[in-house]
Amino acid sequence: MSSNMIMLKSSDGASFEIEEAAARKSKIIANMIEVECVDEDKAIPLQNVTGNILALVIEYCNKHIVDDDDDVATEEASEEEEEAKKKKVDDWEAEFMNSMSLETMFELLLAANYLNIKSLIDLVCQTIANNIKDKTPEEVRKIFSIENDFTPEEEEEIRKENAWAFG
Amino acid sequence: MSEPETKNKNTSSLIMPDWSRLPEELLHLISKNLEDEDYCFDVVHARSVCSSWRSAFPFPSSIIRTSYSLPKFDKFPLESEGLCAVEKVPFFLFRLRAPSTDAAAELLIGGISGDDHMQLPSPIQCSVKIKIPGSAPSLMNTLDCQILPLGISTELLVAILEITEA
Repeated sequence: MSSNMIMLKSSDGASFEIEEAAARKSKIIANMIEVECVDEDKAIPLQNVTGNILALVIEYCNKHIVDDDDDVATEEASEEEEEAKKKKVDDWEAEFMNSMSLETMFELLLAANYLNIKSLIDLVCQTIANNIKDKTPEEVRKIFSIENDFTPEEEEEIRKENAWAFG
Repeated sequence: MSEPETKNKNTSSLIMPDWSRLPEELLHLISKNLEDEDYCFDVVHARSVCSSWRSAFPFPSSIIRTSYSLPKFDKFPLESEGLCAVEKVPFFLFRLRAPSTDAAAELLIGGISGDDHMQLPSPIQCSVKIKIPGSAPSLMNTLDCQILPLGISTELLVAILEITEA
């Protein structure tokens, strides 16, 4: 495994060193590495990602690159081992998402989208969806600080849509 | 393990972002996670949050009552027009959350009915009007019960409602 290190620079000027293999989780960075011959001494500037969010992205990538390597190294791993490993990753992801606020989640989702890290986008979207379940629209608005921007006509339409009758 | 240092940074005084302005493709990805019919009522609620969410969350097909007209035969005239259609009626099992754990939960089976929209009190988004034969219609909060999709019943006439005690 190549342990080339590359540098990433956040929008607020913080620099991070990351293994190339981990950075390749981002399709955008992987492309930059392919076509632009990233200079080892020069940091890749990421204008849309702040330092604290980039730190989380890197934490995620580092964690998952190790898992990918394991897959290659232990081709003959038994089903049980595979399952145990998957559970470990799931637990880590749950803890990872649990540790952050919704504001951070929002920024992380935008960063994952910008950097094109599919699995991280999916993870954050799933977590956000879980936050919507079993809530009234008013509760959802409160949690996510969303304004009710419906016109009275739309409100009426919604009222009808929600008026389920059984009989 | 996430480092405490990053955690502290996360909780710094960020202004709450405007979730209604999340790019549409991302909202769409979030809605995909609620596509399973188990969450169809959650989607109805999400659609009622704001206009951008409304366009991102498609109305759950699992609670649409569809009607198909059957071909008519001149030789066998039907007395009523309404009989000439097949309807697909989604059915749900409602398990009312009992106020105390030792009380038996009430179970209701109900199908989505047609355009029988009635005036509902606020917050209307979470109410289901149920009509039990022989008693006045009553309102039920969808958040107070567990809703399990039972699948689709194909019928010639309107949906039936049964009540059973657990």
